[in-house]
Amino acid sequence: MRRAFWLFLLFALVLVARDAAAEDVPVPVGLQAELLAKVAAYDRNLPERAGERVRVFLVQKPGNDDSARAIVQMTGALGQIGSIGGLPHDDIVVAWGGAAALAQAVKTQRAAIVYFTPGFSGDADAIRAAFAGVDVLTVGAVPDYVPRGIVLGFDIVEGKPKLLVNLSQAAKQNVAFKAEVLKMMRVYP
Amino acid sequence: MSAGPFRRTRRLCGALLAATAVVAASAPALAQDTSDLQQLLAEPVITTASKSAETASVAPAMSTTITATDLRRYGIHTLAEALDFLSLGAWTSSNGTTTDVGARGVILPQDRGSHVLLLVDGHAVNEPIFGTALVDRGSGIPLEMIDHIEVILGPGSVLYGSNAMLGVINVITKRAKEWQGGHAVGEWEIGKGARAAAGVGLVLGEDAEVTFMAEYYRQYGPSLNVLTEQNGFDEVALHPFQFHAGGPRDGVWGGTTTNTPRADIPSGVLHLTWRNFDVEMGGKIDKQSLPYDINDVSGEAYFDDPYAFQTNRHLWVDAKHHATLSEVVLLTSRVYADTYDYERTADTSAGAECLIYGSANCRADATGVGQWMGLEEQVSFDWLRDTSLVTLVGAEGRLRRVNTKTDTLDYDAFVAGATRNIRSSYDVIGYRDETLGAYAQQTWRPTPWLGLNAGARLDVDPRFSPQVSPRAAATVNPWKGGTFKAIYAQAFRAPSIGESYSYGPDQLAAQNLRPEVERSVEGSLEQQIVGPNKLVFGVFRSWWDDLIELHLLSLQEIAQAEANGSLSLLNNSIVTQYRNLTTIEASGFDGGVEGATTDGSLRYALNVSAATTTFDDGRGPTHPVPVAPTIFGNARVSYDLPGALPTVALAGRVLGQRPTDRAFDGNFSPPPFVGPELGLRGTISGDIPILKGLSYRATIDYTSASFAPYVVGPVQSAVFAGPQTGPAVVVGNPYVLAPLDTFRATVGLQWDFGSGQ
Repeated sequence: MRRAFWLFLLFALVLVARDAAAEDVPVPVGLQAELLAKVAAYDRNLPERAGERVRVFLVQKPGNDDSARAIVQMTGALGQIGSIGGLPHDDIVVAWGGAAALAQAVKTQRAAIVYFTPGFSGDADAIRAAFAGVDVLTVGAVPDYVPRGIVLGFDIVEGKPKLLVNLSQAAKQNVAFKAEVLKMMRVYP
Repeated sequence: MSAGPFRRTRRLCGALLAATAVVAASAPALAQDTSDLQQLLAEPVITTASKSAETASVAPAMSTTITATDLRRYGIHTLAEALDFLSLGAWTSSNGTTTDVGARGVILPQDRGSHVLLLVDGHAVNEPIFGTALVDRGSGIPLEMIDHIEVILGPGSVLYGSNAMLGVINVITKRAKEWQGGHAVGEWEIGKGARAAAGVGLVLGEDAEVTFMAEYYRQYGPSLNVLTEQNGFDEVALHPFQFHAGGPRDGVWGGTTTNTPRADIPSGVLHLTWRNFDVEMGGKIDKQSLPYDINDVSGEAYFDDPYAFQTNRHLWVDAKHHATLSEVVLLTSRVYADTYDYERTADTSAGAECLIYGSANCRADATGVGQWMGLEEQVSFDWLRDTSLVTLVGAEGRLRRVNTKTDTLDYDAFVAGATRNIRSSYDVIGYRDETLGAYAQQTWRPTPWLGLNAGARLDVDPRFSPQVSPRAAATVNPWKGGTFKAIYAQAFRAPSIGESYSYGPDQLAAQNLRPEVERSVEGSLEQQIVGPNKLVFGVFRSWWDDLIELHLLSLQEIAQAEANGSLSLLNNSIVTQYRNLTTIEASGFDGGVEGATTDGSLRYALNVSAATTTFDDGRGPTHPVPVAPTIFGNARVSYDLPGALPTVALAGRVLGQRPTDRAFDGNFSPPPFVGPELGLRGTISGDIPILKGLSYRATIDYTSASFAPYVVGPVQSAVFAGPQTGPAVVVGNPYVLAPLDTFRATVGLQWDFGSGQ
């Protein structure tokens, strides 16, 4: 049995060697979808921004397995949700081609919400800069995105979901959450 | 069981439903707009029940999440208090020296938590020799470092293997980003103890973080008033027993302690995260005096012995790595190692222990070292990539070694600073083994309203046949906010190395012990009411087989053991042996309601559990489980006063009448019970405005019970009580129960600084 143990250890080391840094997604993506659908209703500017239907961009990082899986999960979860902020929604998967290109696509295609899957840690600064002045609610699957410039995110604090908001970036992107919801959020000024 | 407790239970349930109705009726006015969102934010996300993040309502178990906020708000100082005041269905019972954990009507007296699996961030901290898990001050986990505690009720061996019978308690520590900066804590239990702790949380760039906290707890009181009892004549030394070091030979045990209790417990936890790696270390030295030796069945040790102590030292390290191998496959690798050692001493003047080896007074010094290291690989296949169909497979291998021995020293030489063995060592164990565990779990969510979970774990241990622990669970969401659960699960506890191999002058080594096994079925309903308010109610039935007990041999069995040479022919009036003897059946319910007002300023919870139990050890009529109450409940309410005013909180727990640990095998008439117990705790906490980050907390504890349900002292059975020969009895209580400290006041300061927030 001892030999089996050491073989087991060797096998594990080989697997561990195949490492790729993953970004922590503490809140299950399905729950993120439910939270997003609820909290978006408290953005005063959503109706004007969205028009008759809420267009949601789900941004995928090519070559990132965590991102691909989050896309499938978010698509499936949003498919179970009838409305966002009381409006019907269209969910569109968008392959990442750079922050500026995405911001341009948001403007031209009138996306109201952009959901960033895992894999964008290195792009957060570029996203913040590119989306300043763009009328859209940006949402991050990874909580660390929020202090770096994504407007809305989700975390687990003390075993329960917590909403995170970047208030200055929200102002730059014309997102205005109502006070009763802000009280439930962790606010990054 | 009489109908009385269930009548009380019906009244409690009525109160629980009434409270829920009041909240449900009043909450809409408060929370019309955001109640749906509040409901989602109030739903705990747990990782312990199926080793993946999921909302508690769909997890394959009934659970409680105890938050750091509640730990502080309700003045919690130990894990035991967290269970007692804040958990659904679980409670603890202390004899003043050790603490046992119970749940759902079952507790195993003096098991020191070995029937519950205690995890720290997924690392099992039940030690390698006896499998015990300390939940009192000796747990070695600084409370300020705890983010939350997941208490999973019921069998958990399907993923965790041995010991997860009553449940799994997973202590999740804080991440650095939630706990940035420095933290210093000072706490004073007035007249009884003090604690100092310091810690730090550092975020090191984007990929790394560190959290660390160390604490030192010292107890120096209170003096305990222990009733006295007479244990008669030492037939070897030919004088009455002497139960006090240097004291009279009057056969009287008990009195007021002057040297005990004392405790010194330094401990610390360090957690490093770098990219996909998680490395965590914990350590503690738990040294406590022994006012009386509760485990000494033959009952000859000194009372209030200034030199008697027990020390448990535990150091562990756990390294995890998470890897995404593809869109479908996730791999978690874990290596870990624990080293644990103990020393326990007991001093005596009993002739059979000392005089026959040439000393008037002697000292038993039991020591042991247990170490294990293990490796666990866990692969998760998210077949459809949307978490609706996930297969989890894992395997765990562990190498273990244990060495123990007990020496008998000349007591007077020891006091003079010398060491002199008066006899050869006994209880000498040198043991090594390798164990393997393999598990698989399939979860399937075919529709949004139905979830299925089935799995099993195979554990291979050279001491017994391979053990399989299955679990099958279904969750149904028939309407908004409502979840039905039905669960069948099985768990086991491998005999500890101590139980398997320990022996002594008064103890025969066990023969072919089998693992203890529990089977359980349960059904529950959880209902979100309005906003963060929810109601849970569940029923359960469990069957426990082959429970290991330290059996007191009959005179016939002793004679047989003497005849075949297993025992010497000296002083064999009390001889023990670990055996698979006992079965337990338990059935009952757990119910609770918890919630808060919209702004969170008022929070409340009420939990009630009741169970009928049948305990059968084959020695006569069946009876309820000793030390376990039929009814257990806790309730709490807190209010954040406006502005800079403090938070005030009140928590209470109630335990119904309980039979003592010797109620049914001590031959006492009438059998000793302890009455219903009410524990109350008031806490006030808030910020001190003179310094940013400085806060205070003050608590007052009161318990209505003066005694714990444990018979202590040399008279553990009426058969052996009283004088045998020699002088007449002077003093005599039929039995003595462990005294409880009924009042405690604690004040503390905490300073959180340098967070930049």
